[in-house]
Amino acid sequence: MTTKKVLCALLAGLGVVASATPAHAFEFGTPEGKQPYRTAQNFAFELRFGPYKPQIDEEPALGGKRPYETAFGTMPRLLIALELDWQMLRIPHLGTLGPGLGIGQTSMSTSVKTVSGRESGDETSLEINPLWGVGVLRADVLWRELGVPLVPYGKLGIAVAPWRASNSGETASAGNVSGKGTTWGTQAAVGLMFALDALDPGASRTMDNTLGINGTYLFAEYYWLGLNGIGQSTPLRVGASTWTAGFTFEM
Amino acid sequence: MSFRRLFVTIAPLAVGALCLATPRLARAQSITIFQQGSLPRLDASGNQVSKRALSFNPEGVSYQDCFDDQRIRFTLQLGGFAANGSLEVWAGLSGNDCSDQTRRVGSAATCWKLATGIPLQLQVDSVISVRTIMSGALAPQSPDATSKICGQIDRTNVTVNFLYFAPGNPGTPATRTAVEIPVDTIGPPALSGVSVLPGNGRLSVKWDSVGEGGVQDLVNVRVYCAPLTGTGTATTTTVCNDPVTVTDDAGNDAGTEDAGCAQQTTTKAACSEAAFAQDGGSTDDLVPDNAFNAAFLCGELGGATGSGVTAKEFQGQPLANGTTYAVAIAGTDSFQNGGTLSNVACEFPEATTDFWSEYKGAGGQAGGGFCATPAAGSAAGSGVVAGIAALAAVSIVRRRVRRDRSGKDAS
Repeated sequence: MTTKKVLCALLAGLGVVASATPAHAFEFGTPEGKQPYRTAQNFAFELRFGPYKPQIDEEPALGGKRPYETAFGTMPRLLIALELDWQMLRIPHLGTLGPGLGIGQTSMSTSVKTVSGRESGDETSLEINPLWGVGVLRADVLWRELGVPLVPYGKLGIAVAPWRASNSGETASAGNVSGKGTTWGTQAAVGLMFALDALDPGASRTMDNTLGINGTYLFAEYYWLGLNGIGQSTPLRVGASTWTAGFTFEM
Repeated sequence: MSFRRLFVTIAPLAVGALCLATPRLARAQSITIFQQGSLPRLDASGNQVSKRALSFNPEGVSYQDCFDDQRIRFTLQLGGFAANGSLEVWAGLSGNDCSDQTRRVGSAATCWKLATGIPLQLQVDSVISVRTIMSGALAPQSPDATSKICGQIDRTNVTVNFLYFAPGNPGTPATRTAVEIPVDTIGPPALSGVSVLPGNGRLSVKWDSVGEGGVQDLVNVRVYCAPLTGTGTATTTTVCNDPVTVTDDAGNDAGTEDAGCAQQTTTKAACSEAAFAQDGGSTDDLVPDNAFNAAFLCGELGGATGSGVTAKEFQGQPLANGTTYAVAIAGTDSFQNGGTLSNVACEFPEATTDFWSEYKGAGGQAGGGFCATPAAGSAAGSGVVAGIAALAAVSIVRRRVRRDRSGKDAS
């Protein structure tokens, strides 16, 4: 399927939501609760931290050579990311469903040698900025209806990552090809959130009433950021399959 | 006593006192200096010059001001002078009042003469060279107003005294006006520990960190590069300008080096400060002034806390791979005086093996810009997953809407 078709499908989906839904048919998000008072819940915000090692060396054209590991070694780097989900629908006795947008940043750098093998003052680096749009299903029925403070969830969607290879701050170039580009792909994830509200329900209610934060969670997630090129013949494979952890705030 | 009698008694006394006082009032002298806070500067030809930026002591005298033989124009407004009086200009070190004759003449003199014979007019310009102003700062009794004084005076203030001498009293001035001129013609001391590493079309220059309280009045650090040419030792080096082709030469071409590399034999002078010599090759006077900056400046670091900078350009051109440069640094103070040159290190830029060249050299196909990747073919797995995601989203929304509608109808 081409990029164009994927975008058309997504737009069509949005069109269904926008046009076929009378305002009185259903209410977006989770309505406020009266006893005890809870503010309405519409969004989830994630702060994400995790290791990241792009799959650049898996490009078939490299024929088994590993230029990424040669330059930057095997140690993963830190990816810091933010994600904002709109918890658009509440599915009774299951959880919330809605779209989410995320943005992350990771970079790696190291000193290099000259072509004749001398120590050099130059520094090579690679910066990757993944962005993703996903559908997110958070099954909070365990927590909301059974009191078990665990919320499993899953995500599925598309992703894109602008990237730039540089040498001492300037975009690298080799053979008249500049070292920057954009790679498209997919994003899929499964994770588990632990409701910190279970540790201190009173504080949780206070935070809800004063700040509008319905719930605070600690989460761990495994994701497959398949940045291997949708509709691209020569992508730089900057995706990764790895885990991340952080905090989620439902608002 | 009646009022009339009192008036008759006092009036003559008052008139007499007024008559006595009037001549004295007429003789009161004054000297006013216009624009004292920002005195105009002239070049050696008498043309007004632009001063340094406010952050670089524009009213002070720097090495470059002295080297350029700048002058300061004092515009004076004189009042109450006698036609046969005289106006003299003397200078002394900070706050020195040259009114006392013993400070102007004799073996203990601490003031030196700047100008005499200034015409006595209501408004008069007195133009004095900065060399003259600072000429006696080291030896007041034998002032030196030649260019040799430049680079001799460290941070001090010179007090310029305008003294008016009334006729018949040449020893003690009838009035005095003074203005302080800050002078600093010596830059910061040499920084140490300069080392250079090669880069692709650049040189990475590092030095020992100065640290807080290290060098006084250090505003920035300038890097100087000079290509090593001329007679000396012949050196053969392999120079590669295309890092993609050098990593693996096996079987690619007939030579011992990759096709992108070449053996280059150059004859270079010894690595020393002689590389920075100008005007006949003397290294006696290597002062980083404007001419020196124009000839050799190749990098600059603002502030005093850093300890490294990358030199990228020399005389408006990128540093050339394969050309050996002598590199030295010098600090600059708040008068924009260049300091003493550091030790000299020599190095030549060379292409480096960065990640991107490794990737392309290994056969990687990506790159070319954020919008450059052609849309040919499809990554099937990603496309399928994206399609499923989109369809699932649409399906769930439609199902929810349909259910809500049916619930509404039932009720």
